[in-house]
Amino acid sequence: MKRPALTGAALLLAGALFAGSAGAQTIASKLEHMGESSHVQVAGLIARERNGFLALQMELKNTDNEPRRVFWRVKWLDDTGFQVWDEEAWKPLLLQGSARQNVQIAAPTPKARDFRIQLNAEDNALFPSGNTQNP
Amino acid sequence: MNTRKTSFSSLGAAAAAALLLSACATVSPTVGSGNVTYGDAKAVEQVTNQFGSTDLQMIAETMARSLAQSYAGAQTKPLVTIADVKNKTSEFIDTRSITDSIRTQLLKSGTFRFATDIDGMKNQTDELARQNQSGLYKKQGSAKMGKMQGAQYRIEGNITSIVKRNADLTDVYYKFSLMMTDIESGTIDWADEKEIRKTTRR
Repeated sequence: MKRPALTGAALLLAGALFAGSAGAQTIASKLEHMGESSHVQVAGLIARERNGFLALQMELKNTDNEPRRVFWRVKWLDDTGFQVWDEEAWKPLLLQGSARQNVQIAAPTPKARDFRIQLNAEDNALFPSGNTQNP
Repeated sequence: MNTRKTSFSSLGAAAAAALLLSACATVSPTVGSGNVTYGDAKAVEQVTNQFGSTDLQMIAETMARSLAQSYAGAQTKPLVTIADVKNKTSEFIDTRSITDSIRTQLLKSGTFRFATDIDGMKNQTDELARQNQSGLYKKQGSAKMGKMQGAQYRIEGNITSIVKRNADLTDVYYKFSLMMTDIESGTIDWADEKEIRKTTRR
């Protein structure tokens, strides 16, 4: 199967996972930012199906020279937008300075056909560093 | 199966007006002085560098999803039992709680079936004996002796830690390893690991 070679703001979708959904899906449409991150960006996002389960690969990019922390989790939805799994635990991730890192994410159930990634950077504009409102 | 989706986009005008009118009279449905607060059970716990709720949640999630994806294509759901996860760290960790979470997530994913494990065997055999040997139950509808299913696979693992300290910081590294063994052949058919590093500055 040939993967569509899309970059930038476009979401890479392998196979016919999202067949029938109207319009192009962008990375931005799959992200829920909790505040504006100053240094951490989602540089790429790939979705594909493995053994009936949705699998994601998210590429995070740290534009700063210092290590930066982010917190992330995924909301798993069916193709009508209903959430099909409990709220996930927030996961901390340390990104080394100027590094790009892939995060592999597997869906918990074959019912999951769509997703939203919730992202919160420790240093973002909404929750400045040291603020206890990080998850 | 026919499904019909109905979307609700916003509050109706009447509902919004009712909310505005009642807003000034709102009383929280709580009892007590307010010294107790409920928090977010899914939040990242950074109280100490000891094994915590976030570590348990991340390990269970990683292991359950790795296992579920590996066996999702199987013709029949594998029947497994959970043995021990040995705690080889220097701290107390309830490893049963980790395996309970893994089992729950695998059952919810619909990819595995679980046979009664060693911890649950006494309750299982007591109930079978009560239904068959006490003379209190109708034969019809009672659970029969000799019908229990043995597991095809056994899940077991280890959790280890390396702790290093100097004048400025304490570094704790955890490694959780899980494997699934084919009970008949004795071969290890699946294994995965999750590593966690936690550092505390003094």
